[in-house]
Amino acid sequence: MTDATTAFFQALETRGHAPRLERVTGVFRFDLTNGKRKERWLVEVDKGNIKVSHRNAKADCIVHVDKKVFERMVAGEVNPLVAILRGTLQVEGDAELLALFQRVLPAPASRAS
Amino acid sequence: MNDDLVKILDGNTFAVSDSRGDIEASLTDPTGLFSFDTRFLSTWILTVNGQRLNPLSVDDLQYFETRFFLVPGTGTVYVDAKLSVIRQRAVGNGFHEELTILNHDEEPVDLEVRIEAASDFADLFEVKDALKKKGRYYARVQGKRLVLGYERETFGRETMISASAPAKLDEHGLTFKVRIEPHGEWTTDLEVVTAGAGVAGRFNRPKYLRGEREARPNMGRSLERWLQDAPRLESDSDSLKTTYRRSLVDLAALRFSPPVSGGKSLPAAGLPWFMTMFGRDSIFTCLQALPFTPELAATTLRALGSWQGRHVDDFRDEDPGRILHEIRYGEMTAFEERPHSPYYGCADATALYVVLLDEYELWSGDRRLVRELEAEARAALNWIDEYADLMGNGYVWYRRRNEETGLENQCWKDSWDSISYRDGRLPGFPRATCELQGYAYDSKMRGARLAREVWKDSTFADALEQQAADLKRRFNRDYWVEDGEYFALALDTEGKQVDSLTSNNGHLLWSGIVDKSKAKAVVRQLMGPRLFSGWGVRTLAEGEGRYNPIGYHVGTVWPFDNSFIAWGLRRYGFKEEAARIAAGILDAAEFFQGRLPEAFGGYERGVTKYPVQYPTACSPQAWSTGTPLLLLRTMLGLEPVGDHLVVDPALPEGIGLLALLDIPGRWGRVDAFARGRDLLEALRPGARAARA
Repeated sequence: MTDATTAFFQALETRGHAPRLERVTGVFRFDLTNGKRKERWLVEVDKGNIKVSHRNAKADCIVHVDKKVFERMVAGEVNPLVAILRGTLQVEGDAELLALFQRVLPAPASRAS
Repeated sequence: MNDDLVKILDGNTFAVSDSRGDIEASLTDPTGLFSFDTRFLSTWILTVNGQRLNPLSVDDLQYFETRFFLVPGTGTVYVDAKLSVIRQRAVGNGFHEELTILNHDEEPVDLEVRIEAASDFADLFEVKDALKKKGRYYARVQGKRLVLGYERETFGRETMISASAPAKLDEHGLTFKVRIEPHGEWTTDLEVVTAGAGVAGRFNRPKYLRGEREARPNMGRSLERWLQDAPRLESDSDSLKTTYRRSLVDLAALRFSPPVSGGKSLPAAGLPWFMTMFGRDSIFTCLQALPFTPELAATTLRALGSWQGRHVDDFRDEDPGRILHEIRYGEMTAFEERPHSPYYGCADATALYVVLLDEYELWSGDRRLVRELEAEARAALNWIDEYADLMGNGYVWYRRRNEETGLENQCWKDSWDSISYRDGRLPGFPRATCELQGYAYDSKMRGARLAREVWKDSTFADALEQQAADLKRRFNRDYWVEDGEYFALALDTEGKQVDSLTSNNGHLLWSGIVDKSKAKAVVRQLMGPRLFSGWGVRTLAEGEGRYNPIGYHVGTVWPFDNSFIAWGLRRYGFKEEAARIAAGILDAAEFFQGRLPEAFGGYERGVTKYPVQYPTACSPQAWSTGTPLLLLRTMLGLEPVGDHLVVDPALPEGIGLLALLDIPGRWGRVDAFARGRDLLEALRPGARAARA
């Protein structure tokens, strides 16, 4: 059974290229906490070209977040900046990269007209 | 704000206290130590043997550092003038205070020195609107630290206080038992560290990673370099030199590294309410400061581009391509009680974004950035046609979709009564204010230049130019008020003119949307007695229904507004008029020691003799700080043309000599000189015609 996290990253990998990330070259690491388990996703972006893996590599922007919160985020239910301010998501490194990464997140679920 | 308050700041951390250095805030009172839109100290009171202190003097050392000289006793009765107390305070990530007590007596003295400390952790929005808190407070002594905290679910903010000298700590403060020998002194460092600001590699729970050192700023060197890098001004006007230096220092103070911009800085809007990223204010300030500090524009363009709207989101008034209005970091934003994460409700920043990108390239020659931001600029241009034309008739309109906490007026005159007909009635929504059409026109023209020269897309360039020409033609027909010979403030939903006479006409000149044949009439209105007060152009003309010389956007004079009006006058060749505006505003600056307020009263200059500051205006404020810089540009007539800087000066009376040395740009560094009429005529009577 594929969970929402895996589905999100697989969809990114399948796209291979996101025009909205063409300005971006950098490595993202998402450290997700799922109870006692940790899950790591590495997203390498090179001028919009995307590679997804579980590799351990040096990242420019590291996101620490509970997996449940992350899944709500990729469903458009949680705004990343709100999550940061509320203390449910932490960013290490270049936070502006996360601002750019938001571009591949879906529109807010409940409020879009 | 009360002028007796002492304010120091560093980025978006600032401390506001009384002249003793004490903080005694109430919910509605903007004193305290603030960081990331949260108040981290609301009480900070020093007593010696149970007595408050009496201020002798305050030294403003730097914008981030100040020194208070105090003696015990209150009022004019000095209980013991044999003691002096010095508090030297600097803001950093919190603040650092060095407290020194000198004993001038022949006898030793035993003192109980006490600092009372508390925090209400108010969100700046709460301070503005006096709202109640929903979370839980705590205070505890933890080793040698006093920790004040606030939590609401996962949201946490803490203030940590410690001292270098031995102290007895309790939940309400620190007590020192001190013995000072004859002619001796006692000193302690006090550290106040704010934690849990929660962004950019910080921490969601306070961890004090770098501990006490965090409270210490290191801004001195960076300020020195900032001043050295800026062009040097020479003039026979001392007041102009003072104003110029004040502007550079205040602009340095207002620099702010948003936790979301990779450590580079851009101008925040103003102290105390607006130490944050604003689309409109940051862009206008960057435009003003381009000839002086072009790097601010590059950072602003990148940061605003990264946060460009992605979706249609009614709560944030967000659309794809829209440039943000404001980002906030406080509790109310965290719990989505306010939409500032970020909020997009402004109708001008998106077009102005393209204007800044083009102007930046004209000065810097930095085509790399223009290429890097091509997608953002195209999305911005697309927003104008696809999302801003709410009535489907080819104009930019605004109406908030967040009815509860969104902004009603999404133009720079954003107060509730700023947009009115001559008779004072307010139009319904949506509204299409005139300057928005001007900015849209300018962004299309400038976008066309970038498309042709940098993105190599002449089809897009042609389309933009055609749209711009069409917009200009329709605008000059639909907005022109025949019986008054000026442009209406706005169109209402029925296509009728919101016909009051306003300063917005000056922005139209700046944008270039005004037909040449109409420019003279527009200038006559701007410089006429109904708009021009002698200091500057009023926001709303005398005689209009809602005119009030101390109404926020309905009669006051805004320095920033005037700087763009002066630029507009230059654009259409009205040099002398531009110089008159520069003179009025710079004369006013002299009354404020070079620091122009956000706005001052629209009273006739001859009546009041001095400019009356608008009561609650922010100061320093970024676009007021940038105003003298843009006025220098307009007086010198600086215009980048290809790889050269053209200088075409027109100085007002009162300035004999003006030289700006080492102006940075694509030409490297060049100097600009101007000699005024006064000087030339003194040297060589009748030589006016030969003037440069």
